[in-house]
Amino acid sequence: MAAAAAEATTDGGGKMIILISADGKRFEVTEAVASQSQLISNMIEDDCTENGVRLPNVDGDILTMVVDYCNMHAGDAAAAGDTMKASSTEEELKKFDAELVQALENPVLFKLILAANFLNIKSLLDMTCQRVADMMSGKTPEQMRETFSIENDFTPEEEAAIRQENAWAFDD
Amino acid sequence: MDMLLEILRLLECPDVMRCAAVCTAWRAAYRDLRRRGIAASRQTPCLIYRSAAAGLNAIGMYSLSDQRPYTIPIPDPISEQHWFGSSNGWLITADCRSDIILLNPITGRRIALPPATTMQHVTLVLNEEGFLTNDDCIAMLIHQPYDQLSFAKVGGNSWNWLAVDYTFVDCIYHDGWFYAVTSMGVIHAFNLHGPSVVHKTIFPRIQDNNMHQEYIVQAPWGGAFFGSTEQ
Repeated sequence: MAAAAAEATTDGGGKMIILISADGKRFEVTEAVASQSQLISNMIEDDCTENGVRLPNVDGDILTMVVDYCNMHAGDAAAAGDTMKASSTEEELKKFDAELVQALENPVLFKLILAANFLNIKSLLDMTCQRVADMMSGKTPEQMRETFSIENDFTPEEEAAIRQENAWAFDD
Repeated sequence: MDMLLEILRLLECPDVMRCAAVCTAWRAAYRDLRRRGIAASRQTPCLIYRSAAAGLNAIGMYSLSDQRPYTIPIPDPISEQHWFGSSNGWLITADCRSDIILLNPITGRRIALPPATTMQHVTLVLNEEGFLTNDDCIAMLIHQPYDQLSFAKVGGNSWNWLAVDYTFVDCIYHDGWFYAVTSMGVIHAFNLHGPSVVHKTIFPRIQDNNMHQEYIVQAPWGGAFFGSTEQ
C-alpha cells in the first residue's frame, strides 16, 4: 500500500496524486496507477487533482483494496512491450485477483463493487460482479436468500404465482 | 439496483428466472431487465430437443452450465415440423408448408415470418386435397439458378433435378401430372409417380422474349389453362 503523504511529490518521474477516503485516510499513488479509474483519469485531464482527490463515498479499508488492485494492475500497460514479462505478470495477476475476491465477506464485496462502479474501474467492477454472479449460479431462491442474507418479503400467494410463471426453472 | 442488473446480465437464463423469486427488489430488477430487453452478456449454449416424455406441449432443454435438463412447457402445442437452427435465443422452425416460425423456448413467444410462397421463385404446389401432408406427396420446387425445376418425394433422401429446361415461372399438379411453364411459354408435363420420370413437351415455344408474365391454372372444367399477359 502506498504510504500517506502530505503533499503530492514526484517519484521516478511519475507525478503523484493523493486520494482521500471518506474517513480521511490519504493514499499517495502515481498517475499511472490512479488513471485506471476513469473518474480520476478524467480529473487528471481536467487538471483538478492538485489538492488531492476526495472520495466521500469510499471508506479507507475499501480504498486500501482498490489502491492495492490498481498498483498490481498498473504494470499491465507498462509491461505490454515486454512479452516475457507480461506473460509472467499475467499469471501473478490472475492469482492476485482470485485471492482478492475469494477472501471477501459479502458486505465488503458489495462495498468494493460500489467503489469500483463509482471510481469507474471496469476490470475491477467486472471481476467483483462476476464473483457475485458465481455465488448466485445454480442456486435455488432459498439458497440465494441464505447466501446473501435476504429476507423473503413476498406473500405466500405472490411467491407461488412467481414460481408458477416459470415453473420449469424451479423443479429439481 | 443498477448493480443488480449488471450482475443479472452475467447469469445463465435459468438462474435469472430463479433470482426473480428471491425478494421483491430482485423481482423488480428482473422485470426491469425483461422490460428493457437487456440480453445476457453471454450464455452457454443449450441443447434444445423434443422428447416423447414431454410431448408436444413442452420443449426439452439441456443446460451445459447447470448440467441438468429442463422441461419448458409452451402455451400452444408445437405444430412446427422442422427445426433448422437457432440465433440469439430464437429457435428457427418451419411448418408443413415451409412457413418459417421463430420460437423463443424461454418465453414461449412465436413470431411468424411471411409465408414461404411470398418469396420470389417459390411456388407452392398442392395435391388435389390441398394438403402437403399426404405420405404419397411430391414437392416441386422452382429454384435458382435460372429458375430450374427439382422435385422430391416425401420420405425420399434428395431433391431430383429435372434438367429439361429452365426459366420456369409456374407449375400446377393435375390428375397425376405436373404441368410447368417457362417464361418462353413452353409447357412441360411430368409424371413423377413411377420409378422413372415421364416427360412430355406439350406446348412448344411461342415467343422469343420473356417480356410476358406466364401462369398456369386449373380450369373449372378440369383441364389446364395457360395464360400469358404483357408485363
